[in-house]
Amino acid sequence: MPTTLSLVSLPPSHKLHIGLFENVTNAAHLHSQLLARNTEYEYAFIDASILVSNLQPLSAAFRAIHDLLDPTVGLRTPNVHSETVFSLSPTHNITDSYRRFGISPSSTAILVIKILDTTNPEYSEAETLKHLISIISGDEIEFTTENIRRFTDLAKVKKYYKLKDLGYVDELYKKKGREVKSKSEEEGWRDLEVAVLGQMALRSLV
Amino acid sequence: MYDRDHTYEFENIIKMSNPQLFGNTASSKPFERILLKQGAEAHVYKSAYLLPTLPCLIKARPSKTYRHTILDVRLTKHRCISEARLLNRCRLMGVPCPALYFVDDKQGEITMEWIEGPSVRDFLNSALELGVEDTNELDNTKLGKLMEDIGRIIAKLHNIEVVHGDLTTSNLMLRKLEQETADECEALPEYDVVLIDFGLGQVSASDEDKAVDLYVLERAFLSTHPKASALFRRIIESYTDNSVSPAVVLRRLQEVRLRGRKKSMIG
Amino acid sequence: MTIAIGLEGSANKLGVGIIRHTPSKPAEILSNIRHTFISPPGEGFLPKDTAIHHRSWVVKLVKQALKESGVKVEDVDCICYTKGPGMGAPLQSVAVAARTLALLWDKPLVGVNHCVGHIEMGREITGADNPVVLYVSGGNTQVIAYAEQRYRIFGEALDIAIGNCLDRFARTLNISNDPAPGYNIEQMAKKGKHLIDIPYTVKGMDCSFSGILGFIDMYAGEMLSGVEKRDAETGELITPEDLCFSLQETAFAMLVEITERAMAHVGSTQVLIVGGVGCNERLQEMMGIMARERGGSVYATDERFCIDNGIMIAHAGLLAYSTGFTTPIDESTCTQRFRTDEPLIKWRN
Repeated sequence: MPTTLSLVSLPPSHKLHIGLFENVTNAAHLHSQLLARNTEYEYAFIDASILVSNLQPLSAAFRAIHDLLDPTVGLRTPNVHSETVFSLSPTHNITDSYRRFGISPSSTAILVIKILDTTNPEYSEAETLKHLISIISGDEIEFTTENIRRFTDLAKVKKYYKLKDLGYVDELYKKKGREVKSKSEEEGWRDLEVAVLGQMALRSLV
Repeated sequence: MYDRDHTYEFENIIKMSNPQLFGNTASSKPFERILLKQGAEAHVYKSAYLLPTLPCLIKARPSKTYRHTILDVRLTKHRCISEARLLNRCRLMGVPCPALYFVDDKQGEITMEWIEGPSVRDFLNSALELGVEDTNELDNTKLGKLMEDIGRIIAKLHNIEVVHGDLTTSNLMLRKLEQETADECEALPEYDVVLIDFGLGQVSASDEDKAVDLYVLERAFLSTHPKASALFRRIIESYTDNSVSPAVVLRRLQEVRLRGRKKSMIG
Repeated sequence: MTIAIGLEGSANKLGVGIIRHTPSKPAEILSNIRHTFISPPGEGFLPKDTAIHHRSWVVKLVKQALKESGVKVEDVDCICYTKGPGMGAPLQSVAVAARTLALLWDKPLVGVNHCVGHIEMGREITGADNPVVLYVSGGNTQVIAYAEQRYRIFGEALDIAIGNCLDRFARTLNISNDPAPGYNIEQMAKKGKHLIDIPYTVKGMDCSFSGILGFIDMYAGEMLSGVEKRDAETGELITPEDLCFSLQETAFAMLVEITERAMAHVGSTQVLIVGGVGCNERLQEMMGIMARERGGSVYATDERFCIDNGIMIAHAGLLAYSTGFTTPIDESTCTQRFRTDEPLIKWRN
């Protein structure tokens, strides 16, 4: 089942409906519907290969909802879903952000997010989740960091998030021939995750 | 390995020096803001980011009514951005500090990783109170190891051309490490040193700025405890080992010590 | 009961004051007079000319002060003079005058730190018990707090003093030096309304004004040479009044910020402003807002005590004299550099 949750310090009525899918076969169709602005397909479709943890898409959604609800900020893109994809980006280039972090016709692992104001009388959680599942041809798996990391394309993440300085100090020490305490795999993932979150957080700043 | 006979229980000291942080956090509502500190410039809150299970720290800069609104907005925004950038630079490049989660530059608020643990200041006070005064025998004790860690983290910071600007023992935290790492070897510390509060920091390659960083820390140490001078020597040794250009900075530190942080000025 | 004469001449003001201390009573100001060397617009006061001014006025002022106070020479306990910091030549002229009086009347000499004079007089007049002190004048910008028999400097301007910044700015704009450039800037600033973006440089408890001066000198220079400057929002022309306004708003915000940081650091809620720039009502107002928000208050004095004067030298000198301190004639030098944290403040706990 997809996950339904609300984010801390945002109105609890704004709920995220999140589904993670692998072996997706209809990415080309989803992509074309997005381009056609078919409102049936108003979702944040994220290519899972640029994700490193569950916090990363949640943080993007947080920013999107935050900006949506703050009248002094507002959205930079057509809706809160496109804004979520844009919020994954460390830069202000909207077109690039769709291309890099949104789905492409060849995507096979996809994270889908639907954000809804549940105070709307027409809202039904069951219907929302049903629709979310119905539009994706693929296998739904649990939205966990463990699952997400199965799809991560490290080279792409490092390139898109401009992480060439990640772990600079240790590299410096290695170059000088010093012994550097090796990090566990988990520590490596954690460093990558917070580096990505940090780059996303700095996007807003001119 | 450290000698158990004449030392202390690290864990107990940590609990004693900051008991409220070890209370039952489940009973409190973590996503409400709890005001922790109201400083001259910033208010610091504990809260949660995204999920109730992810504690965070929010640093807010309330507007100052004494100054012109335009100037106030400009400064608040500028400082918020500058601090966020420094945090990100340090964490990315490998200097242990809180991870950057979210920046609201309109409100002047930074949301960052919550660091669980006491400050080095609180820890040292407790340790010294408990009678860990024989600072000449620091070798192989965890206190000595702690000083090495502090020297290393400052060297790392300076290696990436960042100066902290307010390097006191209150701005160095001890964070409990993941259990798996701690179990690998008994001699390893169970705590990691983390730098916090980059509000006065800046990117700088200046030897003078780096020397003043060390000088401010030295003063903070000496005012904590008269016997802390031996501890500080260990920090400098470790800094020397880990800095890429220690000689020029330490020479400058001598000069700063002689004249004080302040330069002599014409009247 | 003790009486002291104080002679001050570290900059362009020559001041003579006579004070009486009576145990457990407030100090009595018997006389406090001043004569200022005013240079033409666009010019600062040069040490040589200022020294000539002091030498030619000191006898007149001492005579007048004695006459006003009704004090007889034999009732005077000590002669106090400014040892420093300040400009060399003017300091020397006044030191020579003080030495002469001491030898002539056979009275002990007391050399006084100018900054300590300001602080002690400020405390005496306002009743502020243990405040953080902001000392702002032509030559000094310091945030000071008392601890263990010293006035310790917590923060200061790292390059030029705020008063110097204001004075030099006035010269750029050809603002009159009469009665004081800072006073004229303050009056013009009241008519300014557009805030222009000026460098704001604070590092912890220290600050810097040279960047401001360089920027505003350039900006004003362009304006005076006919380049039109307009406000970004309203499109209205920027006037010299706007420059004065922007300079004050920016520079004073820096001063209030470093003062607040020092107050938080030492845990004090009182703040005392002393020195010539301390007369500025906008600075006092801003400091007051900050202090109130911290649950405290601001203490300031008027121009009689803010601006360099002889009475503060007499007062601080007499406090030192009461603890047994005197300056032997052969050590009665003066010094351009004399830090506020050097003198031992024996009269305080």
